[in-house]
Amino acid sequence: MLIDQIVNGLMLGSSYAMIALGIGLIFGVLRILNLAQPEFAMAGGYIGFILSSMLDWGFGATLMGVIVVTAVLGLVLERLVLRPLYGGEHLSQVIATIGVAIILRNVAATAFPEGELPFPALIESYPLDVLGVNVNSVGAAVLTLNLLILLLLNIVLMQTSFGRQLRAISESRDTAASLGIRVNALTISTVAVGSAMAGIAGMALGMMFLSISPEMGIHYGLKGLVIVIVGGMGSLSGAVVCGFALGLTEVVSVAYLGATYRDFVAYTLLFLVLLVRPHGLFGVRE
Amino acid sequence: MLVTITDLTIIVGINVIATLGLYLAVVSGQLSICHAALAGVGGYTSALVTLKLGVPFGLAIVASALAAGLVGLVVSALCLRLNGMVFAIATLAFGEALSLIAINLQVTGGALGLSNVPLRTEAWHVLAIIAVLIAAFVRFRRSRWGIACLGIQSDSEVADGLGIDPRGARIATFALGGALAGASGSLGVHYFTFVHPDDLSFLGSFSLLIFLALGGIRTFVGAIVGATVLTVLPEVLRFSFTHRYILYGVILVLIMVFRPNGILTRRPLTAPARQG
Repeated sequence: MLIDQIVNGLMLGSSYAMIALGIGLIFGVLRILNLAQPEFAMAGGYIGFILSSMLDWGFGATLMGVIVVTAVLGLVLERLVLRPLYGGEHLSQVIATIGVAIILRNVAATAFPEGELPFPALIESYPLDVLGVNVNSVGAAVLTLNLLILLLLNIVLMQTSFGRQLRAISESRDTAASLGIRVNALTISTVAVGSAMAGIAGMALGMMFLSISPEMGIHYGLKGLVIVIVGGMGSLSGAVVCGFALGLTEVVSVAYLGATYRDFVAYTLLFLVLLVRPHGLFGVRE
Repeated sequence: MLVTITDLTIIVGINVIATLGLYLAVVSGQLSICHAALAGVGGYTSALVTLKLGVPFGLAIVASALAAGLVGLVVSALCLRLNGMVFAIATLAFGEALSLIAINLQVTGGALGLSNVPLRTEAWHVLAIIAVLIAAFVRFRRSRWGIACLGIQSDSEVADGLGIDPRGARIATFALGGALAGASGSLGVHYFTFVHPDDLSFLGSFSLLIFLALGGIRTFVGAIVGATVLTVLPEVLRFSFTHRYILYGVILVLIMVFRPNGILTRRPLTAPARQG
């Protein structure tokens, strides 16, 4: 049923949107594309696994744990890698964040040599009937969680002074500093938030697909990277919209073209969009 | 499993050629994350023409270079309006699309790739090509075209001032960079005797970027040094399979944080050679 597919697409898309948004937030304050963000999502998945499968924590506690640990990881990343690289060459930023990704991926592979691991649903899985649509409770919970976070973020960004200052920094770091905004402190918090978002997305993906692996970052997060660009590098709403759009497109393309072409359709479409709109769909010319 | 010096030379040489191709792209201001895919185009082309058409090795290398060069030309032309990280991510998407084409087509052997490719590559092939390339690069960078292409990344008006269309220079340089990648792909496929869609993935492209960044892009020598050091290094770090990748990642991060310009130079990657 098409409606079911649309809802599935939104569930997948919400995770893409979370990853993309995390990348976008970090890019906004540091102008660095964090290529390790996919691996932060993977880390979220693994931390969720450790806390729930190995330590038997419940959903809420695991979520809190994932948020805290990935936020701390983000803080470490910011201090040790991103801050020194601020304003530097694109190539060195790319390579450094790739290096971080390599470290994270191989730490996971070394600590858990079994490869793909089963991830617990953490929420009772049962079919729900919402307004005539057949959804799974886990997927519904994930979608709700992601939407709540996106909404919360939107409120913070648009309605609070913290958000206003953040947007000022994204516009121009130097001007913001000269206006007395505490750029460093805000940057650090933003990176923490962005990293936590990736972690939550990873845990959510684990719950939805009931598995995690060292490669899941590459699998889901790579598209998150592309989405940030396609959505427009200055635009957070662009990243979110494109995330959902991609989720929908993928699910629909699997339903009508079969699973083998899903990724091909995704990447080709993304490439074509960039050709037509070099600044991304909602991009701001810099 | 010990690797002989000859084998190591061949593998290092293949990576050097591919990285030199990437150097051309990057130095003209085009950060390419699809170079492994271009090498893969060369690899598949070479495998197909030798397996299905019985083409001799020398011609196969040329065909691969042409095929990959053509694809490079197309990418660069399509992405003319894109710059910086947007260009890079666009090439990432393009490269992934290419690798997915390779997985899905029957003629490319699908998910299994092509095997039983004739073993032809010898060390002297690789070294000869590199020698020619070094000579070419040395002449190229002093020539009008060379200055135009190499100058684009720091100053897009350099080409213009020399009477060369900067867009043409951009496309030509990327096409040449692709051709080199294609040649390396051909050499690779006739050494490993198989080619696989995974070879085209962005991970391979990341590897090439790492080789280049480590060596530094102030001169083409950086590409050679980076590729050599980082191909040999995993052999040296042999103490454990996954642990060595963690160490590798740490080394990468440390080098980029402390020597963002690569190990060969302290000057920023895009600074002009002389002031004024």
